Amino acid sequence: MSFRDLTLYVLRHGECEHNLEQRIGSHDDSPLTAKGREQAREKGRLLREMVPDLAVLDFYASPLHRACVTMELLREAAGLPASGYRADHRLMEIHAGDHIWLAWQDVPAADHASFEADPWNARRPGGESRADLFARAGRFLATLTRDAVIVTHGVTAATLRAQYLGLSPEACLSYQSPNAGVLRLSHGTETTFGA
Amino acid sequence: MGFRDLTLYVIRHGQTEDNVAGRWTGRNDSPLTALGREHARASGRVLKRIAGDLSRYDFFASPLHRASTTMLLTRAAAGLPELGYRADRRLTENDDGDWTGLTVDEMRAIDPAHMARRDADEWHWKTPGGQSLAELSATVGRFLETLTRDSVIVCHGYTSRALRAQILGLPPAEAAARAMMPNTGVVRFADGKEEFFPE
Repeated sequence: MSFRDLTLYVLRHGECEHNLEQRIGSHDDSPLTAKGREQAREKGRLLREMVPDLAVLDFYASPLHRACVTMELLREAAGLPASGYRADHRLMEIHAGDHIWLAWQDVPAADHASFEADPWNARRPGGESRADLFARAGRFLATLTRDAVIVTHGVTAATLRAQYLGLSPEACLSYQSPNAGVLRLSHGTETTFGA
Repeated sequence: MGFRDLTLYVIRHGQTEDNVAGRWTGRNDSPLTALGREHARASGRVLKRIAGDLSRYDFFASPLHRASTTMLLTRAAAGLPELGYRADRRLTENDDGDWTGLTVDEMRAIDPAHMARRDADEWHWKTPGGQSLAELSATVGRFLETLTRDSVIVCHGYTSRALRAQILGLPPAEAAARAMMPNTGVVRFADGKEEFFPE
């Protein structure tokens, strides 16, 4: 069975302080804002409405704190115990290398230029390319055996979506994942709820 | 001023479900047990007892959930607001590669010869697809270079061994011979010496 035969609910963590500060969070972390915590609970309420029996799903989160906190808040809001999910490193955000925690406005112009020239293969110093992340997301998806809820990060969510839908690099790059809402991938198509 | 001139308090995350099962979590995560949450609070009480005015310190945690959660519980038990720390990726636990989630017995069953090489030189050994303690030590060294004030650091078993090696300038064989920190209590590094404070 392929992961494309499964139904996947892909969610991004709620809004964090570094989102507001326009910083590259990547493999660093910052706390969810009050709004981010409410976004997480809202996702849990949405899931409870969308899925008749949440007990038949597997739950996976990125092991970064903001994603696990989002998972725990949404599980409680969905009427589930906070624990009862797996945290898998392959769901972490794209690694931005030496540019982690820089404000976007402080990223060197030469780096912006290399991304414009080849956005799929460019890497920040010591970091991953979008192509690297595409392969990593594929290795995670290959492990799935049941319908699943996946709490991850903006770029990783866009990459999981592209893997599932079989999209081109261009289509993967042009998608922006919102902090709110639930993306359902099922039967080869996508539906967005509550964003 | 270098990081060896600073006073640094290092705390390992509280007990997790993987710790109980003897599994190497690496860069995955495993939830704190009820005892693990109490471990974190106990570390906070020790910190309050031994560290004096806590507003003098910077606070850093690994961004992995078990360490950041420990930081929140530790700070609250020390009488501080939960937030007010930085989560830095260079404090993330060692990458166990393809053997993430296994026990040592399981690793030995898969490749006994490779595990024998660990016994001979733990510091330079690595799991398939993972990284060595020597490599982890270089990463935490880059973190330590960023410090400007006395600090409290909440991290992991292998990360804390790598921090110790860097702070004390230990050669690999000596660093490898020193034990893992327990899941509770505080290690103080000051004036080139290490001291452990249990509750």
